[in-house]
Amino acid sequence: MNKKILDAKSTHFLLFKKGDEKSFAFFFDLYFNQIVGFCTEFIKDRDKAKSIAQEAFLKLWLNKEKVQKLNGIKAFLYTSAKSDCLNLFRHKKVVNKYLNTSLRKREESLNISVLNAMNFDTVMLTELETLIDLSVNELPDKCKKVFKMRRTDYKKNKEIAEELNISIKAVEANMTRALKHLKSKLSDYLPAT
Amino acid sequence: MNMHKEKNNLISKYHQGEASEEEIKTLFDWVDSAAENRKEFIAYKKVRVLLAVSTAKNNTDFKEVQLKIREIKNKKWRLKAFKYAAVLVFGLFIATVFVNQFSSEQGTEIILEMSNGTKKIIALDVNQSIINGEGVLLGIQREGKISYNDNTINGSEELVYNTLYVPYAKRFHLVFSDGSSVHLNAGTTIRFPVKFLKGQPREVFLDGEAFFDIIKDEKQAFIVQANRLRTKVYGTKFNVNSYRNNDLDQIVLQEGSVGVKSNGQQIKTNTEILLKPNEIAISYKTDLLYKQKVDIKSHIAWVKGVFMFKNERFEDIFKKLERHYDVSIQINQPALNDSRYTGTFDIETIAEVLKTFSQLKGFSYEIDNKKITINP
Repeated sequence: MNKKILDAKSTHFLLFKKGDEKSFAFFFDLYFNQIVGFCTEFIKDRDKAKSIAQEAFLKLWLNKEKVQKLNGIKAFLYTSAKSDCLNLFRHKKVVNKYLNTSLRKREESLNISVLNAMNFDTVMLTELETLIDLSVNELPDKCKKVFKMRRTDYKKNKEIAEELNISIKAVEANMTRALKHLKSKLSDYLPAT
Repeated sequence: MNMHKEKNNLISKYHQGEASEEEIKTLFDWVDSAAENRKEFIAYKKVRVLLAVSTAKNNTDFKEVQLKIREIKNKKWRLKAFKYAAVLVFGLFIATVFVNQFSSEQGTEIILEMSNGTKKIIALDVNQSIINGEGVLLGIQREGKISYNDNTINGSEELVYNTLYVPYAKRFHLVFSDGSSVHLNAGTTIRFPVKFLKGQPREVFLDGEAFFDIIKDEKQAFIVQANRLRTKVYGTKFNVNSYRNNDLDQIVLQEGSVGVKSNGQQIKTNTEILLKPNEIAISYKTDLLYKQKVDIKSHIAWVKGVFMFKNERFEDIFKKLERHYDVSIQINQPALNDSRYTGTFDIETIAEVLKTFSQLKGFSYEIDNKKITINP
């Protein structure tokens, strides 16, 4: 991990704890898209995902005294998003595109299992981040580039394709490859149960 | 090996939303065929969701969160101030705040103007006595309500008026000296006698919206003078909507009966029309006065803090939103103005209200502090 960024984060964390709105905005910029991305994987409705993410940040601000460590912010946000996603499933408010009701039920039960299997504690997230950084560096160059553009620069597949002068299919293939590699590296960290 | 590769392809196809229902079924069957498979799928998905990043963030997202925080802060502060006042003071907390100068009429505070022109700020979280320039107790404020006394010793028996200004985003409750009560909506001014005199009509002047609950007195009619309409009653419950900057005056009757007459000379047949419960009198641009049957619910819901509209024009709904939330809304899509809606909001924030409408009509909007712009 970049040392400079780490220092900026720590400074912002201290200011955030004291109620500085600019530092709050810093973390908002850093994590909002990640939380929305997380929710969208389960509920497939971007507007609902966004409002869950907004709610998570609102709660974060109201509970800033309780957050002990820098990575506690991320843990807090993911935990809040997780419970809101589960609530949506519980109240049957998740839109599902399948015509087949049995498929719908099976997907829902899988999603609920995944959500329930996730526990976000600070230590896990900190180590996970380091591990992701290490694993990403092991990727082939193009694959690494695609992954970083997607995850760090929030670029869309189309933008990445244009910038690297490759097809959108190739961007997707590289992302799949990156994820597969990361999965094998991270599976110890993310056991299924 | 081949099988393994196929399954991996299927998993990634599924997550990219490109798998057919047939393929998804194959995948789920594989997942369910062994506990190990399920574990593997869950492990893959866990990595995937933790690495997922959307591109959804836009400029309003952070502002919307800030807006919600501010609203919660305001509520908390009010509660705190009230608790503090209650703990600090033994018995009734009596405070009088005299304010002589105001930069503008449309501020953010509720203001009571006395007969001699002095102005008091009425904070919603205190209890205080209302005293006139000569030190005579006129009434008592308890949080969101002022009650005027009937037994005021008033040297000369002449009418003395007070005026109350309720700014945007606030509401207030007045009880007149005869016990009649009036709820005042946001952006309303009412001028009324400190004490009604025996043998004379009870008359008040209104610009804005108010719900009246009038104590019955056959000998003394109660008259509400609004911008275009004059409503005369003896004892009843009714709502008057008459904002100066609107072209429309509306009187809605809940109970009893009232007579409505136009103020201006423009209406040739200046006769009084009588309203029965669940009827509305409408005056449009002073050249028309008529009545019709109406569902009064949406007209009086505001008294309970509920924002309700029934088959109303977008433009009119947004005028109400401006008053209710103290924001200014600029609509850059004229085609929207004439569309009609039915709905209810109560505890929603302005950001949530805008979001609902924008999803319905597919427009975009920007919130910049109290300024809202609606774009196609």
